[in-house]
Amino acid sequence: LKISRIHLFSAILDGTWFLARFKIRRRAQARPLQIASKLAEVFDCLFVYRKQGTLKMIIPDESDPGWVKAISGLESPKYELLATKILLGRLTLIYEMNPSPETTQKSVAELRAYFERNKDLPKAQADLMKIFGESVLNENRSE
Amino acid sequence: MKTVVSDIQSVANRITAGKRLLLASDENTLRDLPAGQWIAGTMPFLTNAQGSAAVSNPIYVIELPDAVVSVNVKIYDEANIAQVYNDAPQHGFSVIIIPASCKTHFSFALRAPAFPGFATRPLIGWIAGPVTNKPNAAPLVFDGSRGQALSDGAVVMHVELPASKLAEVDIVNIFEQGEGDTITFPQDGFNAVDALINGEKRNFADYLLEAAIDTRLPLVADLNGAMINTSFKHLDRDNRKVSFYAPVFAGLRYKIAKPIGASVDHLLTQLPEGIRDQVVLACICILNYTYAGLDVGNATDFSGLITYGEIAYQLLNQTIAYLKIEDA
Repeated sequence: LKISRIHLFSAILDGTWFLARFKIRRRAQARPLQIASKLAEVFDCLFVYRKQGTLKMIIPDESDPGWVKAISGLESPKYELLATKILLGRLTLIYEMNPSPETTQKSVAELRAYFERNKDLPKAQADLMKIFGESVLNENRSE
Repeated sequence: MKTVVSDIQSVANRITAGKRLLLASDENTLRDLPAGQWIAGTMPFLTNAQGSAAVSNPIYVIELPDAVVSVNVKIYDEANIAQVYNDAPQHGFSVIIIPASCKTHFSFALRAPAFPGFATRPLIGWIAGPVTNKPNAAPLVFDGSRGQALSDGAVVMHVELPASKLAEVDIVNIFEQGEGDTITFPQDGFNAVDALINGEKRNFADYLLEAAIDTRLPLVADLNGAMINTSFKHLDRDNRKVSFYAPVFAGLRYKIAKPIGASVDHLLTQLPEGIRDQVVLACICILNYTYAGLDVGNATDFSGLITYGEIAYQLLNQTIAYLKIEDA
């Protein structure tokens, strides 16, 4: 397993953020009307912003053969989200009944649009990685 | 889960306090509520375990978390229900209630998987049924923001969440595909005359009778690991026709569910560990009660709405559909 210094630094930073957020939320629960409550909200926003900054995904183009592989149903990884399972189940059925290029392209576009709309959801990201592997991880941070 | 059975005055107070509510009760009680940010459907019954015995005109109340940024209530009909996914907020979820056996119910059930943007946003909800003591009364849904009741249509609350919260819809299904025949249908529909049994065309009613199938067990399709049930409604021996509570879809491979025996008592305990505090809404199919004698009070302290069909992206049967909201 290759762990770069960037990955190590990111993990330490994430851990620090998580602990700080946890502590401030506990204090906010104990004294909900005090400044700790507002501070917890600020920490929540910053935490989300930071996570989104580090977990950007690249959604492959419609021309990527991984999309057709997914809708063909030849491989069925254990997807995380119910939405992914149901949507891919329907698209696989459409592909089985009519594998014409036009229908396939329409299904690929629908599946790609689904991931595009959900690209910031951790479980959707996990599902995308089950189709394409780690190649969809964007190493370029947006921070 | 912040769901309680409450009396009309308490609910009215919460509405006027600006709370965003999902409600279920009988028609007269819902008509007496003030306008506000709420939607509702008539509900078949409330179990004693939910505390209804102690309350006159009980209302089942789900209060959305204070973290909700905004809500937008919209009414749909058979013609525009296809827009329900596209109208959902960029970050949040939508709750839909449809009266049983109306045109919009059938349209949604048959066509939802082909709606634009299907499954791209969390959609959960239920089919409203007649109340227990008025079985012939039409089921209704209510748009509390406009004081409107509908016997045909869908009322949808589109809910926007802050970036710090994530919504997820999932299901609990204690059924799985049995080891028996593979069944496919030639066309979509709530009824079937013929089916392909392991590829051989048969009259489906004849097949069920000859094979002595227990029709309390649903048909189960495996969609990439999601077990989707379709429950039998009626086997018409005279006309050799079978009807269902949700549509079957052409080409989908179904199997009769594996018998589960007494384990149905544990349906509600099958929710994933550690999520109960995150569950905002749970919709439980009424067939779990009528077929299996499920008793919420004995099974668990967890409770949910009893429905004539639950919606998790599309219409389902004999499952629990639930919405959870967690920190991002």
